[in-house]
Amino acid sequence: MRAAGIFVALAATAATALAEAPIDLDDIVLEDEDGQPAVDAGPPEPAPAPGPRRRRHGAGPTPRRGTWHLRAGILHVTPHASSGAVVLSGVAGPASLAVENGPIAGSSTDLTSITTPALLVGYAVPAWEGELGVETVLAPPVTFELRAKGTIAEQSLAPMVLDTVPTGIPPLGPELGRTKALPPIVTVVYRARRGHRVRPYVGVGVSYFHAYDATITNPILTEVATPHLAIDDAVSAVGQLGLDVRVAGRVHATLDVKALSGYAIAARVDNIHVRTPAFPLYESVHVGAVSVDVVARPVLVTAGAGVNF
Amino acid sequence: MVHWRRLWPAVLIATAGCEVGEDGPPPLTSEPGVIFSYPHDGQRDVPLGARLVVSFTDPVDVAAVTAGCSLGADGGVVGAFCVRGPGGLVATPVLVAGPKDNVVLLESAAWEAGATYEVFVRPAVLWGKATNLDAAAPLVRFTAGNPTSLGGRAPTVIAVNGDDPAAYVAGSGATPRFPFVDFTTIRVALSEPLDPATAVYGDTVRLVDADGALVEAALLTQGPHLTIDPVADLTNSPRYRLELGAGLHDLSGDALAPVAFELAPLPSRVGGRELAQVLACIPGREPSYAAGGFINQVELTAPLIGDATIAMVDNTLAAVMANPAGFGPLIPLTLRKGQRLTMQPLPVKLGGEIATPLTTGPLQVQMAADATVYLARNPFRDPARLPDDELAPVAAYLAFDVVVTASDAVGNAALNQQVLGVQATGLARIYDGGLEIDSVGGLDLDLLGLDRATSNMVLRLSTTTARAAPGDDAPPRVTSTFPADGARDVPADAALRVTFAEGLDAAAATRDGAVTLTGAAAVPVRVRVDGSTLIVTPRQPLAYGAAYTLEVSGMVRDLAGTAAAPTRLGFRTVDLATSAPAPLALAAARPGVPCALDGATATSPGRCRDGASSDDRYAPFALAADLPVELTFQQPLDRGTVTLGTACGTGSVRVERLDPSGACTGVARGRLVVGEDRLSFIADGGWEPGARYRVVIHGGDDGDCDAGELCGRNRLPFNSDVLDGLADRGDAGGADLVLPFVAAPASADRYAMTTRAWPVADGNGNGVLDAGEVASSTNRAAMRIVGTSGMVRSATLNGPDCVPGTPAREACMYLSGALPVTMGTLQHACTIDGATVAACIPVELSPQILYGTSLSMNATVAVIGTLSDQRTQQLVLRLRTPAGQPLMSHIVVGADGQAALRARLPLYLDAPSMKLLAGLAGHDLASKPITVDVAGPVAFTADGRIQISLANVAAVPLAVELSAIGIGIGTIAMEIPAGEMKMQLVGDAAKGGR
Repeated sequence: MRAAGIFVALAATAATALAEAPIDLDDIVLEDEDGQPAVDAGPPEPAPAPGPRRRRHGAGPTPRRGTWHLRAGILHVTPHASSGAVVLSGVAGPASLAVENGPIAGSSTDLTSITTPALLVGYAVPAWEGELGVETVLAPPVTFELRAKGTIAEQSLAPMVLDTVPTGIPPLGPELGRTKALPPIVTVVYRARRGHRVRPYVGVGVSYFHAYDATITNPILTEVATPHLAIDDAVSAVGQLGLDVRVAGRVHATLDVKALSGYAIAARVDNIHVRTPAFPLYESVHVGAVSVDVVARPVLVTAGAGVNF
Repeated sequence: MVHWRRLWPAVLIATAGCEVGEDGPPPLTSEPGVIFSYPHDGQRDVPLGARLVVSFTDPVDVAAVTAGCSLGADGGVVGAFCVRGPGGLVATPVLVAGPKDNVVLLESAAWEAGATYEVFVRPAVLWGKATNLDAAAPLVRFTAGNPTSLGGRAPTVIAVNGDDPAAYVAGSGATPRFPFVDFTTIRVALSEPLDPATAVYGDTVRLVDADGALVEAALLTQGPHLTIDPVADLTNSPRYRLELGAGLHDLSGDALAPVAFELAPLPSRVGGRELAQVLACIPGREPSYAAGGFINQVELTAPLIGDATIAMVDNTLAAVMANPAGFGPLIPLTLRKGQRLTMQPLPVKLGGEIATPLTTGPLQVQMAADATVYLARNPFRDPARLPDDELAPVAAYLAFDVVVTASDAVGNAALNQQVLGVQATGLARIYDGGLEIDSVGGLDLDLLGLDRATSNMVLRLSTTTARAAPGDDAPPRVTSTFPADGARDVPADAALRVTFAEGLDAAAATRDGAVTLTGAAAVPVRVRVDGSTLIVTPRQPLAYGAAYTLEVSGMVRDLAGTAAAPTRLGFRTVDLATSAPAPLALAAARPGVPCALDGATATSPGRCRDGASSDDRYAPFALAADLPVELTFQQPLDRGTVTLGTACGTGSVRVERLDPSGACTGVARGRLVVGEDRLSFIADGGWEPGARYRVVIHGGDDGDCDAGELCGRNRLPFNSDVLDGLADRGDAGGADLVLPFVAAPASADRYAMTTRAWPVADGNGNGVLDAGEVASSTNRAAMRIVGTSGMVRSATLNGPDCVPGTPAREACMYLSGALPVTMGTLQHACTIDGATVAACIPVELSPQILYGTSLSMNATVAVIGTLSDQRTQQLVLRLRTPAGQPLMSHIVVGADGQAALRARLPLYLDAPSMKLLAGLAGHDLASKPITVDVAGPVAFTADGRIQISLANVAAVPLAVELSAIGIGIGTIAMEIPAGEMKMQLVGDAAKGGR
């Protein structure tokens, strides 16, 4: 429980979710600056004629219209989450015989890594000779599992009443809960070496983390009542490195790495009731709430292939 | 076609659709309603003065609670908060208290012994919002205990560990409310008090295991309560059996029908270890959320000493919790015996205002046996809801037995006592990380053997991990004894008492060899522990004039198991040896007077036979319904001659019921207690107010102790007519002494006791200080001759100078006797002898007789010559009731600020056996009126008995007229100098006996 979801947060994810409106790429129509279909959008034409709109540097001609790229691939998110101790608050009633408000020594939380299909969608703006663009990641909703670590997982949350009487409350184990996350990332990307087969790129951007459908799944925590897991939204800066390789024609392969400066995520679980098998007098106790502050610095690695158009 | 900008709305839509997870149904908490009551529903053996407490979740509607009650046409109770007993609705007003006006108290109820009451609490009490109050049925039913003898009925067991006894009878189908745990002390409540002498562990009370082996246990007895506390927890056998045998008798001698109870203890331990807890009892002016009153204090209601509140000081107790998983929805705990709660001193002020020298110092309330506590689901809470929340916590039930001791030695001797079978109920709230048990319970405390103080205790015990309970390794210390070491006037039937500073382990103290009594040979004794007092009763009367040694060995231990330092006590019994025995005579009678009567009229039972015809007639005799007849003699009885009449006109002692014409209609049913020199008759169920009775003592008509006659130990029959002489066999016998009386209603604010002159020099009552008798500086009058007149030229008193410090020679007249007194309640602006004092307590003195030892004088009479060794013989001082009015005295604040008794004693002085010149000369010491103004402090003896030390405040003149052949020949003028008539009247010990 504790903190459960928390981490979730982390999600720094990068992944973005098209949860309820999956995008059919066939529906996407790209337009040029004049609003005409950019049917000829694609790989750069060879040897463009000199003119006033020639780029100041770079190997290729400055495109007349922006260029879209789409990469389908696999996204792997490593949360790199770290948390402080899980903090109890609002402890009252029989639970106060066993635990006190405050941090639980030796406790922490973590998030699991995820791997999911994803789309990298980018648009190179013509004003920068196609070298500067914006990019985002589209992916199905991602679900992070919240894990307990340390004493909170391995020892009873409230082993003894009044320091002497066993409560019968077992350790929670590693499972805490899960949450879906929607952390859209938008980066501004500079792709070097226009017209070359291999184009490295760098980017910077921002990510906004939003968790939803956060749920405590630990059977001990859900035996009596359903705790309420709330995870605050968070914002993080994003740094990006990548490599585009033109495989053939418009087809490119891409390896993209994004590192987030860190989400500072506050998570809180309320309405925690735990059955007390060794104290049938009370049946269960209301533990109150737990909270945890998680800092997640996710690294997103996407490998995929797609087209420019 | 979708414009690219529509991608962001898609993301946003996805975001907007995210809701946090839905919560499940929250656990249910309490709704408005009742959460607690004391007594609890079904409680038995509720103390008669116990407060009724009902607590609620929310503030009550004061107007509804106090609106009063009535009975509807259908007999139903109409009202928001009502109590109905056997006599109808209880009219005592209720109070609203508690931290948020959520507690309703009925403070001053006086529950009728053995009666069942119903408490009706309607939803209107909570403004109609209560969800657990019935509109018709009573909320609580409880039954009051019975601390007085029922008489004529066999005692029955009314509760075992607070439950219906049937719950512990195999095959009954009944089950106890709480499980029996291996550490549970067994508490038995009976329908009436038991004779403690009949409760002998291993004999009439037995706890045996499945193999029939006796379990070592301490047996505590007090009133209608038995407590059996096994020395070790009951872990060695799956079943135990408590057997109460027919040898258990009530105070009327009726036997208990043998009964047995089956006990199958559940194990308390978790993995063989105890779950130790520490409970703190911290004083503070904080109202209890359960009980209304302030926590950790005892409120005492007692007109005798006024109302008092005694606060506890900081205390810590050790508790042991049973396996909380082993008993379903309850948790048993125990508090081991010997632990104590310290309380502030009890101010002992008569009537609450008149200080006495009795101080208690801090009081100690010790667990006399392992206390039992259960935490259980709140019975008023909807079972569908969670068992606990702040408004309606779980319930707590406490059962315990306590020993109360005082730090001051005299206070301890006077007030130490045990109170058994205390039941308290409360709520157990979780607060600040601890368990906080607020409970309320009633207990009746004995006050000096005169009164029972209703005490209501509010106790808060809080778990703590920051403290440790104190240990007790100090040996128990003797604070007083009776008799005192070296005493020489000990009654032969005395119950010997050794009082300690703390409670004693009854199991250890009653083992063979723990206490021994040795005279010429070892004397078998019965040892009983009452509070912190060892009561040692010889199984046979001691020899008179013999030396004994009482030894308390180190086998005697306190409740914590620490051995007492061996104590040795030497004493001698009173010496009755004499060459001039006198017949048995009464010193005091309640009701009545200690002499045969004549001269009865329609308004008076008459006057003492053979007194002057001008003597005052006595007012009609009356006896309160709850008091015994008490007959105190001036010397020991021959117990074998005491026969209680079983029909009109039979027996040497008769208590008969009369019809309006005065004819006997039968004997009164009751129990006659025979003491060394006292008879007490306790009527079964008390006297019927308004009914007529009489007490008759038959001594025969001659000097032979014949069958059916009451005789003294010297085999001389009872002398009913002391004014006709009381010197020798020739004075024995006489007309039956008949004392008619009418029973009066019992009164709760009058305290009757029989005081007696103590110590007494003339133990054999023959009017002479015999060789073996011990002179005393109290209970004597120093007589001085101040002049002569007429033919009496001179006179001198013989014998040792009673007051050596004066130039004159005084002779000592040693006084003996008894004086029943009745104390009233405090009054203000009392007028006494024409002066007004701020406060007083009226004390009615019963018109009894003081006997004085003979005085010897030499007189020189003209013509006759010198008369040597002229003896008054035994003197009789009769208290008068002029004009038939009660003889009143008063306890006031004395010069030292302490209680003092002031009395004017009108007396008749008689010397019925005095013969001058072998009867040739006469005297006027017959119905000679004298008046003695006396005053002196009301204090306490070292062994805790009330002691009134009186002395005459002014010289008492006494002119004895001598005559010969009816012609006056002169006067011997005597006086008792101021302060030299000293009477020390001592009450009985609170635990019985002298």
